[in-house]
Amino acid sequence: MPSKRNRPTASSRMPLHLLDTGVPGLNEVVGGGVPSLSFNLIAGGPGAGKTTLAMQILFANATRERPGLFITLLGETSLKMLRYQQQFDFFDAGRLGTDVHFLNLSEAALEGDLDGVLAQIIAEVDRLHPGIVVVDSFRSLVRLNGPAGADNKLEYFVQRLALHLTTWEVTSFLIGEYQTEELRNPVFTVADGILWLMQAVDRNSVVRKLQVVKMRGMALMPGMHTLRLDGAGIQVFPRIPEHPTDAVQRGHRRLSTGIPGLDAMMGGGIPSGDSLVLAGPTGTGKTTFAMKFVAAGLHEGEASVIAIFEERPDVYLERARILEAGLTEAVTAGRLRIIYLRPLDLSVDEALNEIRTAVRELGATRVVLDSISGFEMALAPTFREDFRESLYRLIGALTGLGVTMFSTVEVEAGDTGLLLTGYKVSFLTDDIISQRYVEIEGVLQKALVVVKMRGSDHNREFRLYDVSSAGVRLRESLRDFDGITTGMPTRQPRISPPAHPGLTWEESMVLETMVRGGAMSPVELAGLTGLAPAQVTLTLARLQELGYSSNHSGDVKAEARSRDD
Amino acid sequence: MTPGPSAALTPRSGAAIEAARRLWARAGGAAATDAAAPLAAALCAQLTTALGRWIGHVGFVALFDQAIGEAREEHPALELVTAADCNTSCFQAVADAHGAARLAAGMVGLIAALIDVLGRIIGEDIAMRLVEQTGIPSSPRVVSAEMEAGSDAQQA
Repeated sequence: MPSKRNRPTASSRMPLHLLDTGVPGLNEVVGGGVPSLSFNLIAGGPGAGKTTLAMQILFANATRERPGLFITLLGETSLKMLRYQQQFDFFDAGRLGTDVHFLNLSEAALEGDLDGVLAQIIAEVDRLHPGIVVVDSFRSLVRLNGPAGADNKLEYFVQRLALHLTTWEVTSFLIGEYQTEELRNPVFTVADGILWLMQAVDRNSVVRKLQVVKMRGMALMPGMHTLRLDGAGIQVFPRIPEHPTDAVQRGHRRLSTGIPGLDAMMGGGIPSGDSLVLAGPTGTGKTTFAMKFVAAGLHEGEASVIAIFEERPDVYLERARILEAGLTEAVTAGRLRIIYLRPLDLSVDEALNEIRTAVRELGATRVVLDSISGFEMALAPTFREDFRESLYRLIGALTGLGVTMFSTVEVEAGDTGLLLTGYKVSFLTDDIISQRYVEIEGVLQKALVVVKMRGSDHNREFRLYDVSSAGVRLRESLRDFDGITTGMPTRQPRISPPAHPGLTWEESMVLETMVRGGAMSPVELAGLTGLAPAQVTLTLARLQELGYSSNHSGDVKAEARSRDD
Repeated sequence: MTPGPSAALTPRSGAAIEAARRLWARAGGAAATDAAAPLAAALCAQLTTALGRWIGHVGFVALFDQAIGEAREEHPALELVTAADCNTSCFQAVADAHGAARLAAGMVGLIAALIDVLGRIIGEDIAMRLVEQTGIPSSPRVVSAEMEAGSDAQQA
């Protein structure tokens, strides 16, 4: 055992030079990049994207001085490879023969001559002096030699190849068709890094995933990461960490919902960094509430991101235009981004990546998810199974960035109770507002209640509201009704003394708002309570007359006064 | 060998012919008519090595056979040439029977056909790039003038 004195210190350790893989998201997963001179395996079943991944890494790192060499043994033929790989954006035909070289050793491989294959690889590496080498597909070599001792031969071949390539300062990737159950194969012990690709098929949906089984010297990101293969090549979507580590100060200020009166019900608005869920049946105005939340932020100079799953952005913006929410102008000005996610084979990590990228680019402080129900439908079936857990990670990751989340969720109108059971999302959120339909004197009306405000006092009364092209207007409290959650409330005039004896409901609300908010102007008071300015003026006059409030240079504030006075 | 089904439908591209002329000129074929046969054999050997590295020897032979079949349509002098027998004596037999100029024109036609056949699989740009990398082509203008002289001789 080396003495303590001889142990390398952090400053004396040789730093690992990392290669940028050129695959979006992959560097993050492998801990920053692939260590240079490492000997890596890209394994997985057919169609998982192994060759494309290797080719993308090759093109990203090949230079004229240290070119990339792609060696074909018995995988895809070189002609087919050139035919199909050139379809990807990363494939630059102009670099063929200078930065990127192909070597076809299929004939030597077909003869099963591993020594001959190795000799030719060595000769070509000696000739080109490449910086990166890909061998596709080494597994097939052994199949040609028959099953007896096949893995031993391959292991010996791989060890010799690894030795040579490392000696020549080459970063290498061997591609092999392996299934998950073969992970114990001794060949894998030779590799410095193992990237495992797989395809998950569920009904009509196919989802590709990547796992970094090992990457020596690197703090890799564990778990299965979704990857998407499209015209640009491969993009990896790192799995959202279970516990976001970003330490963000939360709740230090209140964000307006943009709906007069609702902020007062919530004790001053939504605490910044909170996740709020608005749950209600269809037609209760959830999207309008969400638009108002965004519009309020824009009014305050805050950028926002809206992720929608059911409506196209143009339709969504047209609805916002009717509300005069100013969303179209904000999109044009780069202060609002609307992300339309509806591929039906989406992963939560992809959605998060899109949203997180937009949040960072815009410096957004407000994010709307409209709706959770639509989000679930857009996911590939395989991701729906653990939807709640995924949503938990997504919300945690976004609020970890410091943004305030406003999500809508559709629930069944026929349910009794608070209509929150459909998605069982209450544990995901800090704040919950529940909407529902109620029948009052033969008229179907909309009501809402603030169900939960984590760590904050709030109004617990049901209030009627209207949604129109003018927006949302909060109306009277239903405190004189029982059985609201049944949808058919009955009037029960209260005999218990109100919180402030002698005051009307509006006067009580104005007083409560002043108690919570301190000194403010009548205009601010009108905005917070949802009352008309004229009504606020009348109410304030009576509160002052009764000694509940005072006026200081135009601002009003509550005066301390006990209930017994 | 008969040409593939797409050959009759695909006229030889001007770019492929130009690239073929450059390659043949670079091999020295335009100037040295007396040595056309060994030059043709040497060029075939270069192509076999260079393209064989990319697509494998077997793959190259298959492509070259297809290209020879297609080039024969315009250059019957290539009747004696096969991918498996692409040596000096084979090309000398062509030169003796049809003249060095027709061998030269046939070689240009053969290389252009090879680019076309390859180009139908991997695209003409990449095909030309791979074929041209068997050597550094000389100035296209000079080569064109040289080849026009060869073509005149052939017609005469």
